[in-house]
Parts: sequence; C-alpha cells; structure tokens
Amino acid sequence: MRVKIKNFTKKISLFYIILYLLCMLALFLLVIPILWIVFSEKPQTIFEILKIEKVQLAILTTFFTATITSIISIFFGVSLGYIFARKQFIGKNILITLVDLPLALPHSVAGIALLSVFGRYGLIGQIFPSEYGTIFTRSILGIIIAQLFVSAPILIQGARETFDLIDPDFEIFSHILGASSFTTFRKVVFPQARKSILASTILCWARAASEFGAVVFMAYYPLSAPVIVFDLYNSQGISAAKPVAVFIIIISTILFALARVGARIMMKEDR
Amino acid sequence: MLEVNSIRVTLGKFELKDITFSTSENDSIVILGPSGSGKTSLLKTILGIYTPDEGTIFYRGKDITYFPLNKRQIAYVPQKPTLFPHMTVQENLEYALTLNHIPKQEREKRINNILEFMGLEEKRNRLPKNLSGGELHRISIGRALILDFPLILLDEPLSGIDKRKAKKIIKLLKKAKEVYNKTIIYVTHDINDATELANKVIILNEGQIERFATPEDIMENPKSQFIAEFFNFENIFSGFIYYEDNHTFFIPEKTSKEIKIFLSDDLKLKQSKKITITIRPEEIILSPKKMDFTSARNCFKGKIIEIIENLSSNVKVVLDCGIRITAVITRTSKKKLDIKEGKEMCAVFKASSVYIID
Repeated sequence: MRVKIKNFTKKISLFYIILYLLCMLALFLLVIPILWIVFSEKPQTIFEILKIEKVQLAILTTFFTATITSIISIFFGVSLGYIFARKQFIGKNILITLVDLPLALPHSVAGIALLSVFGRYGLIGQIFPSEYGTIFTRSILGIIIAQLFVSAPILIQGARETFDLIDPDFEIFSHILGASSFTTFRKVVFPQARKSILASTILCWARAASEFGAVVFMAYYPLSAPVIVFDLYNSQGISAAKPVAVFIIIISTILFALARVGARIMMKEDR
Repeated sequence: MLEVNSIRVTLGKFELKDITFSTSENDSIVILGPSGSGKTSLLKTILGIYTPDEGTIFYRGKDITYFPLNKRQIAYVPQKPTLFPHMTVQENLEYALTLNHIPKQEREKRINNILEFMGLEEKRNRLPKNLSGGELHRISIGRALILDFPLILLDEPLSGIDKRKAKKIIKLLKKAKEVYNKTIIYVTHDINDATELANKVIILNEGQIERFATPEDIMENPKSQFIAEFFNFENIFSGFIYYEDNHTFFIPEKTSKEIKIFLSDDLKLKQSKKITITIRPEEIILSPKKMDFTSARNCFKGKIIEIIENLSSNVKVVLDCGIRITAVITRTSKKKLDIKEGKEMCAVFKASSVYIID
C-alpha cells in the first residue's frame, strides 16, 4: 500500500508571501539605487572626471584619512572596550552611553558639537594662536577628528562586546602561569578578539570614509570624496557629481570585498 | 612548604575564618566539604585571586600573602579545564614554559615527555575544541605538572567526567605526583577521591576548618557529627551517659522504647553528659534469636523495616529496635538468614564497636 505523504514544502503560506514581498521591497530600496547609478553611467565619463586633479586629491584624502582614523580607532576601541568590559566603576554605564552617542546623533549635530570644541573660538581651538586658528577646521587633522568622532564608537562598541564574551578566567589563568598583564593581553586576550576587532575595523573604515555631515562642518577643505560629490552637485549639478559617486561606489565595493576575503582567510586559519 | 596562618577572607556575606594549616614537601592534602563550605575560596586565596583580611600565607619560606598572582609560582588545575582556545595543545604547554623562561630545547623535551606521560602525543596539534572532556582534563593537569612549580592546587578537576575516566586520571595523578615530586592540594566533595589520594584531609564547614587529620584518623574516629554524616557514617545517635552496676551505658534521646547501649567501661564521662555515638554497620551481627554465649553485650530485637540492595556484594538491613539500627551483611548471609521485611531479628554488637563522636 502506498502511503501518501503530505508535502509541506510545496505549499506556500501567506506568511512566506508577505516575507518575500518585504524582502523584495527592502532589496529594491537598498540595491537598486546603487546598481542604477553604476550602470547608468558611461565608463568614459568616469575616466574623464577622474583626470581632474581636484577629484583625484579628494579621493586620496578620503582613503588616507579613513585609514588613519581606523588605525587610531583600533587603539581607542581596544583600550576603552577592554576597560569597559573588565572594570567596574561608578558611572560606567553613563560613560558607555556617552561614547556610543555619536552613532545616534544627526551628523550635522555631530559637526556642530565638534566645531564648538575644535573651531577657532571653540574650547580647544581658542587655545591656539590666531595664525593657527584653522589647524582643526581646514586641515587633514580636522577631517580625521570628524571621522573619529562618528566612527570610533563602532570599534569601541564592537571591542567591548567581544571582550565581554571572553571568559576572564583565561586572564587569571595566564597570570597564574606567570604572565604579566601586558603579556596576557597580547597573547591570550587579543588573539581571541582579533577577528571581531577586524570586522569592526572594516565597518569603522567604511563609516569614516563615507562621513559627510561632520566633515563638512569641521573641514570643508581640503575636499574629501563625500564633500567633493556635494561640491560638484552644488556647483555643476548631478551630471558632474555622478561619475565621482560611481567611482567611489566601485572602489568601496572592491575594498569591502577584499577586506571580507581577508577576514574569511583569517577565520579559516583559526580552524 | 606552605603555611597558612589564621587567615580570614570576607567574600560578600561568606567568610573564611581562622584557617590554619601547613603542608610538607610531597604531601597530598585533600580539602573536603559540602558545597558552599569555602573550598574553592580557600584555593583562590592561596593562589592570590582573593586577598585575606587577616593572617599570613608563607610559601617556601616567603610571605606571599600580598604577592601578585604571576609571582607566586603555584600551579593550578581549575574545575573547568581552562586551555586557551586559540592555542593548540602544544602551544598551550609551550606558553606556560615560555613565561617561565625555559629554553627552547628544554621546552620541547618537557612537552614531549608530558604528552607521552599523559598518552596524548597524537593530540599535540589539536585545538582544545577538538579534544574530549577527559583529554582536556589530562592536558590541564599536564600543564600544571610541566612547570617547575612545586605546589599544585586542583579544584575538583574531575567534576563532570564519567567515573571510569575519573579513576584513570586519579591514577595518573598519583603516578605524576611521584614522578614529578610535587605537593598537591586537591579540592573535592567526593570522599572516594579523598581516601585514594590524600595523606592528610582538611574538612571545611561553613568557612572553617572542622578537622585536619589523616584519612585513617577520620575514618577511625570522625569526632564530630558533621564529619560522621559527611562521611556517610550510619547509626548516629544522640543521647546521655548513664552508669549502673559499674557499667557505662548510653541512653538514646529519641526512642520508641527504653534502650540502654553498653559502652566500654573505661570511658570516663560524667553521668548524664550529652554525647553523640556511631555504630559501624559492618560491626553489627544479625541473629534470628538472642545470643547468650557471646562477648557482644549489646543485643536489640527489632523488625526489619528496610532492605537496601545495590550492585555491591553487601546488603544494608535496617531494623526498628526502638532506634533505627543499620547493619551490613553479605548476600550469602541474607539468603541463609532469610532476611525479609517484617521479620524479627536481633542486632548484636560489642560495646567497643560504639564510637563516641561528639
């Protein structure tokens, strides 16, 4: 006798119909603008615009500053993240919230906040003599500070969560075996956290490179890539800004893909 | 080797109080006690994870009470094998040796030796996540042995692994102790581990040392009701001393009928003094009727109320003689005597089989 088995998988429920519709809507919103802008632009136009020195410089500035920002963020993130994860002190939760706050702030607000500290008449800016008044506001340093303010919290948060997951007993044990705090951190704690820290660094780099709001307030000049797109759009319209935007998309995609491949190789090595 | 003098450690509401003991070279000290008695806290204080409020700890002649953890040179095997997850077995062992400035050649020699000793040579390149529970425990013990630290503290290192493997590891540990010439302090709540390993036992109760003696001494005379109960002594009764016709008796407190238990006459205790006694179940004879021609002066008739059989060759028989008396007999005797619930029997034992514990 043949037993009839009900096939559950072939039946499409209403739940899945709604789920697929939502996915399609999300993908349309997230992917279409990027694909559309990339494929609607002629490669010739991109090469043409890239010949302009101002554009080349802005792109280089962005990659350079984002890389420096990420390196500094690693030190900030690892130090603060470790202390937040391991030490108990009064006001710790308030401090954690304050450190994470730039992630939730409108970027223009972040820019104004930075200007009030580093601007010519700001808390720190005013300490410097007037000939150095623009040391933070018209410089690479200004861009880095703005990028740091909005992107370092990603790394700090990521590192804190990672260190939180590492059993403190490993550290105690390493001390018992004879290791100092630094050796324990270098040999026991950091190697266990490095994959997550690398992942946070990639996100931090992306966040720093794409920062527009805070940078535009802090250091409009020297022009960085996001600012020059805005600058070209303002002065010459969308046709001038689009090729630069497309180039940034392409280069960011390549770098992102490379970073992910690197992270995957690291994970395989660990296995 | 190690001298712990009157230490007091406060850990929230819990307190280790007036802990004093010392170890000599090559000692195997087992710390026993129920959960929450402070066994692990005591180890952690010796290791330096907790700092005492009072008292001193001397180790190899030096006061290490306030020494940092990494300067103490005391090896530790925790309850949960804490092997660094990102290091292979070999790297875990090598890390411990590198920290202690052992030259490369010597390191390799020691790693090979210990892996061979532990029977884990083939696992040297494995990460901890790819090892079984028993292997992790063995590596954890191996890492403690590989260093030149003369004292090893083990905190219930066999909890969570099956009895057969645990027995194997205990054997290995005993052998290792001889080969590597180490002093060990071993925390457990398993009495069998204690009797197998220890030459001295510390019994902790509510943060205090209840007894520090050899296992033989404790088994011979537990000296307190807590220890007697902890060591699963049966037939523990509280009552009073009573003298009559030049004989010394014990009158139990809670009985359903009047009972007088003969005690050794050489005991010099005050009339009516409250004491606690224990009678070894192995020293009680069961007889179908009163035995007239015997040197055993205690004979109590009662009904069998419980028969406890397990996988061993002995059977526990519980009699209600006014007090509940437990005797241990062989399966053969059980058959011969036709032991069954409800049957009347006599529990016979000598006055010298009654031990005063409190």
